[in-house]
Amino acid sequence: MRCVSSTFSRAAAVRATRSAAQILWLLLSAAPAVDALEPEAELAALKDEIARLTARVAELEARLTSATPETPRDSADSKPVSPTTPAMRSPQLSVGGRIKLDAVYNDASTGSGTLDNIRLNPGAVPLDPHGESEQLEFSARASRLWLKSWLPTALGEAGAYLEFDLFGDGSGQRVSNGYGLRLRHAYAELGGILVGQTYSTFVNVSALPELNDDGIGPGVLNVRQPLLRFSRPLGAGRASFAFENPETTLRSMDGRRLTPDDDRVPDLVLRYDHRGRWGEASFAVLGREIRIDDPASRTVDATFGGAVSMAGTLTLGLDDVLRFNAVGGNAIGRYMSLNAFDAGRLDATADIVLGWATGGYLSWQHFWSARWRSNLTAGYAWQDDADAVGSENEMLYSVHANLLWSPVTSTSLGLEWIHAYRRRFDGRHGDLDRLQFSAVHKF
Amino acid sequence: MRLLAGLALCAVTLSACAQAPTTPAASVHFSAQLKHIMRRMNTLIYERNLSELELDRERLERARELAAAATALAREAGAPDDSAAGADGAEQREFARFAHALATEAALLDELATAGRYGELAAQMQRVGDQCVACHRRFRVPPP
Repeated sequence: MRCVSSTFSRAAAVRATRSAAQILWLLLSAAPAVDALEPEAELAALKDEIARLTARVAELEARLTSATPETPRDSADSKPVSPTTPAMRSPQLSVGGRIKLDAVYNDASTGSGTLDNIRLNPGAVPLDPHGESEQLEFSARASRLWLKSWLPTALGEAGAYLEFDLFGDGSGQRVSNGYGLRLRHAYAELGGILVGQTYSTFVNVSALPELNDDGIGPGVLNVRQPLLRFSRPLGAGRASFAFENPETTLRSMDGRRLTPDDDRVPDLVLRYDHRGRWGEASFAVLGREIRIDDPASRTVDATFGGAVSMAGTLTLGLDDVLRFNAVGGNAIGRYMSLNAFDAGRLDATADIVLGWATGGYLSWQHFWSARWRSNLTAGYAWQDDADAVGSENEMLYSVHANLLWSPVTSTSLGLEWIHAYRRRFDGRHGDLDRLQFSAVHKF
Repeated sequence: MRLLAGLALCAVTLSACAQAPTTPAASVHFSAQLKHIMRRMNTLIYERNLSELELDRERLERARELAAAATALAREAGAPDDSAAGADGAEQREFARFAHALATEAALLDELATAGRYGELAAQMQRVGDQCVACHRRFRVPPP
């Protein structure tokens, strides 16, 4: 369902009148051209043209008739109103979403009741020898619902956006398969200022690959969080600066993940986007304070770290698109690969030691035809820390290959093969093969 | 969803302008540019990660690019002695009128995109495409 309020403006009426006059002129001036050409062929062409122009005139008359009487005017005279006049605009409210069914067959299960069986969590790939094998699960939890409002104003574009999926808590698969909404986006923007929750500025969303899998693969940056972002055009591109919600994750000496929630400085992101006919690319810098304050264990420490990322989309001819991301730094932590690595760890003296990590992916999209396309994606992430705890992830990679068919633009169906591997610092490792069929219908 | 379908339909219709034309070589550049933009617009239809607001902004930006390419194509096609090579005076005048009409519709598309009137974008893109189709039906020689 979608409801959009719009007005038929006086500008449109003036334009329609102008077009009608243009059509009359075309009709009147068509005759001389006929004389110079073959009579039969030209007669047929002329008939086609008259039919087209007649339809166009009927359309314009219908639009004039349906013009609302309260169409705003900028003065009492008949001066045309420019479409860019903010006063004539009313807010547009739209509702939409998508229904998505996933059927996922895993050769190794991560256990019952876990989301990792329906979306890839590269840091939780089952280790060998894995216990559960050959598991099938259906899910509609990646379905989404969104609401948006959009209005050009004298201060710039004003927009608001809410989006949910169904990855909230639920009742399990036994009877009702009921699941709660989970907030994905809730933000408003005016001009170049954005407030609310959406993808981190450090994430180049345009560069994310088209996958059936709704997980976050190795080397993929993907975080949504509350933030305050300022953006403005700069040169041939766009510069952004953001204050974003901080959240430290650390690894304790005994291998436990710590989320102390003691942060006091926002994560800072500076990003520049450049766009051309070749595609688009971005360069981003992330700065973070990693902090813990636990009086009970006398653990109080803070340190600053950061990361850099380069991502983009390259258009290779008419049928191919290459998406990429390369990231590296000593405080990437939760920003990459669904928090497969932590930002740092506590050493024997309870000081924070940051861990260097790198990652990236390449995704090649090829359109076999207007309705058929494929994506081949390979991602990699690696953590470099000689003193890491044995249970920490050291290296991850995955390969996704899919074939997607869109019988109509709103609907895509396709099959994806996923192979994922992870190795820990203690040498244990495991891999996962997965087949995922997905059907997506946007409404 | 209807808007998505509308934009897809427009991209198909507009491909008339982007097919290998019989227009002079200078126009080929803008035709290729049009095709390029339309393909990029097509990839947006299947986009799964951008929010709808971001998608709207992308579509508006592509529409502005498309309007600029169509305007340049119309200017090139309508230039004296550089269009409808070999045609007589009446045909050249008619060709110029098509070029003028394309420029007019492209200018309106640019205005709508600049004003952020996303709801009216698909219909205006269709009008630009109609101009391409009308001119090609009249003048374009099918490829051998």
